[in-house]
Amino acid sequence: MSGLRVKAIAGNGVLGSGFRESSLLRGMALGPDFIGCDAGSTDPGPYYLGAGRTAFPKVAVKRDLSLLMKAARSAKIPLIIGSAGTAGGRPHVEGLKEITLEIAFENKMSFKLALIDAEQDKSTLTELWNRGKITPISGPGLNYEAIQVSERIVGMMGVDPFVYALDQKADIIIAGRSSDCAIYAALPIMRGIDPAVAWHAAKILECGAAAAETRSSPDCLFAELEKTAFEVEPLSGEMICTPQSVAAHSLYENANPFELIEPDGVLNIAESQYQAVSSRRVRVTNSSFKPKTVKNAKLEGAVFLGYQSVIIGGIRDPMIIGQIDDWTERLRKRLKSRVHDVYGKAPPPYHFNVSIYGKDAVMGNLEPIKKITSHELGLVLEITSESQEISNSIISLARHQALHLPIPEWSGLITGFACRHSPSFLERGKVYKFTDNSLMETKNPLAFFPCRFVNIEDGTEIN
Amino acid sequence: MTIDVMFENSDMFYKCIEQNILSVQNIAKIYGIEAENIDIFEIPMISTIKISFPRAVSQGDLGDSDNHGGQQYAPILDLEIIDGS
Repeated sequence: MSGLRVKAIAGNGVLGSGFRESSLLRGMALGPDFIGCDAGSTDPGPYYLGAGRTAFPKVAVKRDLSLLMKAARSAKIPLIIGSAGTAGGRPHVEGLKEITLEIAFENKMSFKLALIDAEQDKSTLTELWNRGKITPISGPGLNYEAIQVSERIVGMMGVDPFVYALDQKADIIIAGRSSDCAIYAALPIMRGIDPAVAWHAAKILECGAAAAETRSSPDCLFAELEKTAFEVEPLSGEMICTPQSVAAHSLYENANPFELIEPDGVLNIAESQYQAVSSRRVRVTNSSFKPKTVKNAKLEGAVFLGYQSVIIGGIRDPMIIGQIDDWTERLRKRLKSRVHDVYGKAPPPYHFNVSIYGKDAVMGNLEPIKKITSHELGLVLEITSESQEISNSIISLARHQALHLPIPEWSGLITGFACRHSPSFLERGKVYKFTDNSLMETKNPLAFFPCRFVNIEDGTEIN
Repeated sequence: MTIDVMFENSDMFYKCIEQNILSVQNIAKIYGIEAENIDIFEIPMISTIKISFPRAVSQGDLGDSDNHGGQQYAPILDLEIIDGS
C-alpha cells in the first residue's frame, strides 16, 4: 500500500461563486481521482432553508456545474457535490438535479446520478426526541416544540452516504446537507487513506483556494493524499500555498482551532506539521482523528417568524440626531397608539425594530462607542407580523409617524425623516430563524440519508 | 462569533500576548460581555490569536444586525501594542 495516492480537485468554496476554467484544466492535467464541490452554507442565513431557495443565482450555479461535469465526465472520474442549493433540503437537491439534467441534455451526456436526501421527517425526529436521541449543542436545542414548528429540518451527513453512492458506481453525486469535509473525505477513506489525512485534507479543500496566501478570487485547489500525509497547491498560477496559509485555513469557521468536530469523529490538528515542498505546495503530516463510537448528525431547522416590511430612510437634522434614542422611543409609543386606534381593541401582534446606522446598527449591544459623531444617520424600520398585509399596513403607519414626529426644539409641523423610496416600504416576504443546534444519533447513517439513483443516457433520464 | 487576529510577524504576536492586550478581561470590557463566555486561543505557528464568544442574537433572527458576523472585529483595531524594541 506504500504507493497509495488519491488526488482531488476542489472546484471552489461554493458552487456558483466561480473559478477560472484555466485552473480546472491545469488540475485535470494532474490526473485527479475525483472532483468535489460544496454547494451550500448557513452563511446566508435561515431564509434559504425555510423557503427552499438558493442563495447563488441559477446562471452562476449552472456555469460552474457545467464546467465541473464536463471535466469529470471526460476523465471518467466522480463528481461529488454536497449541501445542494445552499441549505441541502429536498427542494434544494431537486433544484440542483434539474440544473444537472439541463446540462446533461444540452451536452448529450451519459452517467449514473446519485441523489442523497438530508431532509428529516418530523415524525422520525419526534420519535427520536422522545427516546432521548436528540441532544442540544447550544441553548435548549431542538426540543419537541421546535421540531413541530420548524418549516424544514436537515441533518448534516458524514461520509457514509457518499461511500455508499460511490460503491454503487455513481458518476455524479448530488447530496443534501453535508459536512463540507465529508464531500472530500469519503473517496480517500474508501481507498484506504488514513482518516486523519483524509479529513484534514478535506478541511483544507472545502473552501477551494481560500487556503492560498492571497485568494484574489474564488478558485480551484488541488490535493494529493498519501496514506499518512497530504500535499496541497492552488491551481491558479498566480496563487501560492504557504505553511502559514494552509495552517491558517484550519481556523476558518471554527470556534476551536485545534479540534474539528465532524459527524464521523473529531479531527485534531494541534500537533499537525506544515512544510513547504515548493514555493507554492505544502505538505501536512501528524494530524489525528478519533472516530465517534456512535455517529451523529447536526440538525439545522428553520422556523417561520412572519412576514416583514421595511422602510429605509435617514435623518440629517442635528437636533433630532442629538436625541435619537428618545426620538425612537417616542416613535415606538406613537406607533403603538396608532395601531390601537386603527385596529381597535385587539390589534394584531407585531414586532417593531429600528436600526440606526451611524450609531450602533452594525454592532448593537456589542458596540463600545456610544457617542454619535456622524452628521447624518441611516435608519431601517422593520415590522414583522403574521401577514404581509398587516406588516405593510403597520409599516405605513410608522412611516407617517416618523415623518412628522415632533421634537421640542421645533414648533409647527416638521418633516424630520427622509424616505428613500416611493412606495416608502419594501415587502421582505417571509422571514425565518434557525433552531438551536442539536445532534441526532445516527447509528445507521444510511437510514437517515437515503440515496436514489437516476440513469442518464445521451442527456435523457431513462428510469 | 469568532475573530481571528493574525499578526504580520511573531514579534508583534508575542508582544501582544506579553502586554495582555487581547486578554479575556479586555475583550469582555470592549464588547460588554461576560468573561466566562469568551474563549481565546493562541496559535504561535501562524502568529494568530483567535477570539470566540456566543452570539447575543442567533444568526438571521429578528434583531440580528450582522448575518455573517463580518464586522464585529472592528473595535479590536483601536487597540495599541507598544513596540518597545
